[in-house]
Amino acid sequence: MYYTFIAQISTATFQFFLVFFILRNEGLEALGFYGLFVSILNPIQQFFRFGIPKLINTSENIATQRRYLKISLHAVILFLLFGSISVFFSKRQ
Amino acid sequence: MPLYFSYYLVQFLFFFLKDNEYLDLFLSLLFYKSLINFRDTQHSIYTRNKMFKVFFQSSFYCNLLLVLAFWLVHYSTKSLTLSFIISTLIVLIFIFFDGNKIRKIAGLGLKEVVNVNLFKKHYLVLMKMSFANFVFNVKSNLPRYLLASNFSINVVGVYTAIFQAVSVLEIVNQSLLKFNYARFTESFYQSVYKFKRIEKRIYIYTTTITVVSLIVNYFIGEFLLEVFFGIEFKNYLAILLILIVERYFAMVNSIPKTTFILKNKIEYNILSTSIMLVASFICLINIGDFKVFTIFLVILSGCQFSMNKVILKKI
Repeated sequence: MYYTFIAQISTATFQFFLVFFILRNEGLEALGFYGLFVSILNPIQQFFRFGIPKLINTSENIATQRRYLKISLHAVILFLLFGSISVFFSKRQ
Repeated sequence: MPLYFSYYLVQFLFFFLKDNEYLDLFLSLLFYKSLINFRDTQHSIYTRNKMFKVFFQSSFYCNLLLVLAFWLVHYSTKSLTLSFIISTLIVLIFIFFDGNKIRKIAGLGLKEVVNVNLFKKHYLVLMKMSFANFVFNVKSNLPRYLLASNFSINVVGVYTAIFQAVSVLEIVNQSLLKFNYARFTESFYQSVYKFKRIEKRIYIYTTTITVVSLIVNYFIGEFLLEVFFGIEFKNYLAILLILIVERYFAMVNSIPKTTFILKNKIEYNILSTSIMLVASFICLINIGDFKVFTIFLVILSGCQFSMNKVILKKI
């Protein structure tokens, strides 16, 4: 419990640091765009996650879990391709 | 269907990305978040196999390095995009480190790992889960889209900052009640009495944490907002307090959500979230006052919690 607590706190601290840092150094507009971009990317990221962490939690042996990890790698590549194509087309428009 | 879905997603992105001077930041964030996504999946293997110490080491050192690198790169280059690119590289290093560790534990060769049939076998389940996660996430991010279209990008900035501060409370609450949440899941299969007792305990603890947080922030919230976010945030104490209440409903809502999963009735959760997504859109689209907007967020969160409780009683 102690280990997971510290790990989660460190993640939350980093996220808080990002917001604090962007606001202090780049201003409110940059923070607004950061918040908006994160909120656009989050649902798409969740979609391309294919619920794999949940499947890992329900699978018994580590070999199967690692196979799911490989599928997750393909999902990451798909997510990257999708985002990059979107940016490319939005620049062309 | 996935093709149509992707088409609408691209249209959705175009709406926000057109003529945007922050496109480079978006692209760097895209790479950063995609790798964070993969790292989180690796971490789920650690937690699944109760390798908490390895999970802690990977998570803690990575976050520490990210803070240092982000600060150093921004200090020397003044570029947010470059800071995110360096952060992406750091996450990539940790992915290799974790991948190597998992490979050693699993003790498998690469040929054994590549298994396309596994994906084909679970294709439908995976698509259903992806769609559910997408709906849940759009619902929780909807306020930012509407704030961007109804108000200005600066208001999105204010909301992001205060929401992030309130999220710390949520993480502290989750971590402190982690043991209770684990017992809550276990007790579902043991006895109804025990299940109800732990459920009640989680509600009491979460309410206590929220009330304490509200009292503390009522007295020193203005000072904290000024210290962390600057003098212009001093006027947003009311928004902070309202968002704490909104997060309270989100925290207690995790109980009915978990119960849906335990009862194998996830589709009811998808249904209630979809209804609330449409209701939120209709209610919030025409609101022109930031404070009223956040009050409506609280009402809608409360409604979703009540709706989930009613559905749970019926099934």
